[in-house]
Amino acid sequence: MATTTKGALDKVMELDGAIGGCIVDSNSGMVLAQAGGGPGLNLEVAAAGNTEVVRAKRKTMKNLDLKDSIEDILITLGRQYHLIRLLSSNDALFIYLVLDKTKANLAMARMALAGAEKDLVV
Amino acid sequence: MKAILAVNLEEALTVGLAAALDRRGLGARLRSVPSPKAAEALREGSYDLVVIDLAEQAVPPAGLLPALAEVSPDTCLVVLAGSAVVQAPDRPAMFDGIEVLERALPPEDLSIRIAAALQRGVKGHLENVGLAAFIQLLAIEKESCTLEVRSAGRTGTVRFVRGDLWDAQVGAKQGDEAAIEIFGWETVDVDMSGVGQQARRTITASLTYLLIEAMRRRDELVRDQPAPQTAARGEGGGDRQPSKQVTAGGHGSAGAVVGALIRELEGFIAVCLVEAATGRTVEARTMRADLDLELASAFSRESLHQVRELIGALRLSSAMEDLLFTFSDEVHLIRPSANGFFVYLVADRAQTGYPQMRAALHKLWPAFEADALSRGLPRQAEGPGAAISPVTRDR
Amino acid sequence: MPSEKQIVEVIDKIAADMSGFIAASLVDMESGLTLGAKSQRSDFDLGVASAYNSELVKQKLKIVKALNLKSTLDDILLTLSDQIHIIKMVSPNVFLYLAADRESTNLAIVRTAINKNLAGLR
Repeated sequence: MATTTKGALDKVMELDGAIGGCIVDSNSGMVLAQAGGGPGLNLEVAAAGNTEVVRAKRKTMKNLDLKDSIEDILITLGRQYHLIRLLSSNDALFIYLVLDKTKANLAMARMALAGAEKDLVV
Repeated sequence: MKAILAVNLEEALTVGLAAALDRRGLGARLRSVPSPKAAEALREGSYDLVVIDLAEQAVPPAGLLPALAEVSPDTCLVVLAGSAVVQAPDRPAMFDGIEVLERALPPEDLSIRIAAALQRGVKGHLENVGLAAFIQLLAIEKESCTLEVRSAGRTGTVRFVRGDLWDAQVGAKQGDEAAIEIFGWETVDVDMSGVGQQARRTITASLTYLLIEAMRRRDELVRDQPAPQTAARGEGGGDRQPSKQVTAGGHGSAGAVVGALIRELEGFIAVCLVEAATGRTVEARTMRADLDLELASAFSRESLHQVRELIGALRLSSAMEDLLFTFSDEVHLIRPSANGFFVYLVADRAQTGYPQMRAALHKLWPAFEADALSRGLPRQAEGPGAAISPVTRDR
Repeated sequence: MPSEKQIVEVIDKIAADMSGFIAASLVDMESGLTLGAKSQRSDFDLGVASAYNSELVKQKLKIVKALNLKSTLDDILLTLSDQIHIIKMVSPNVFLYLAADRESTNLAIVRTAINKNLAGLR
């Protein structure tokens, strides 16, 4: 499993503007695998925080009685894109990717993430 | 007719002893010698038991123990110590047939002790045993003995010292591998004798591990015999071969699930699937021989019980999802299923963690539960269900 | 060993670093004493929980010895359907027990909050 998660992350990190990424368990908020990051981006803290984002969205959908599933969540900041992609094979898990807005191509990134998550049968 | 060498015994005691043994139906030929002649007597004749009165001495006479070791290590030794403090020989494992008694035992009582000692040193023959069950019995009763095990033309030797598996040999193999092979034999004939002289210990793994591994390999052989489609599952997957174990599963889909778990989870150490109510282990596998899975699964049952008590005491209406223990170098995860089973999973903290373990279980959980349910039937007895009645202990 | 007042202050800091805090206590297993405690909910019996957890930890340590594990216990985490309970070993005889509501937080957040403030409890 670890080879596939690390492999998938490494591939996604090849995208232009990729700063860091991780695969997160939304039940615990803990990181299964990570790549990139650094002093400017603490991936573990980000993972824990973004878990709450995913859970909040799910809760809202439930309250709205929306019988649908989340594919991805995009948060646009001033200088960064934060992309969250849920895994179809295990919806407790998601990929979290941080991109530099000036260098990244959002459409490419989204496609790459979709491809990565399909290959990831975790 | 047993041969007993009486060393330094008072004549009255020797006569009384012979008579008492006779009354017990234990005919015995008693030869009486003074201490200096003991070693010599041992080399001249063969004895089932030596009884020695130390009188004022603290140790048996010089030469007696070496002679015993050399000539007849299977001989029991009964030492009448009296008020002296007996120096135990410095290799006690050699003479587990030693009994140290207070001196002033009347012949009747001494004869009882000697009869018991003789029966422990019995050479016995068991036919048609369920070996695994018998082995476990030896361990529980802290027996010391040598087993010569025969099955379908193969012969192996297994040694126990005070309930610990000490040594195993079959063909060119020795130690853990030999034990695993022998324990996998279906129908066996066993010859049981005294433990004799101890060589160094060649067994390193726990008995539980060896028994489980033997069963697993045996089941694999049975499983692999039919159609070639079994090649598709289990074996072959994965660039990663765990250092010691074959990856394919044991019996049933739980076995395949465990196999998948081993391949998938980096740092996998051990897993067991247990029926919560009875504590029955449905499936178990460990990469580390020194991890006692029986104890570990008992430990997890207890933990689950304590959690339930905590939930009750706090009057919570919550359901338990899982319980995680993080140690300095390992993580242990206990996860109950909806239908009365639980999984106990152990992994290396350096290579993996809680979310990975949860994810791995999440993938395999449905198969685990299904298999556990299907195996709710009582287990078949191992081997031809022979009674374990050990060799006729009475004579 | 910090004073009771200092301990409660540290617990307050931990509670501030997370949402869903229910209760926490610092327990000395040897004496059985609670060195400091705080509860946000009157219906959560912290005393009972601390006592039970004391027993749980003692048992675990005994079994670790029996299993001959050469490792030390760091923490115990109980995930219930709606709550998280963490027992964090602060020293060989003292542990921090914390209960949180899963609705508004996750394990990673709670763990980070505890680890960040742990020094104040030693």
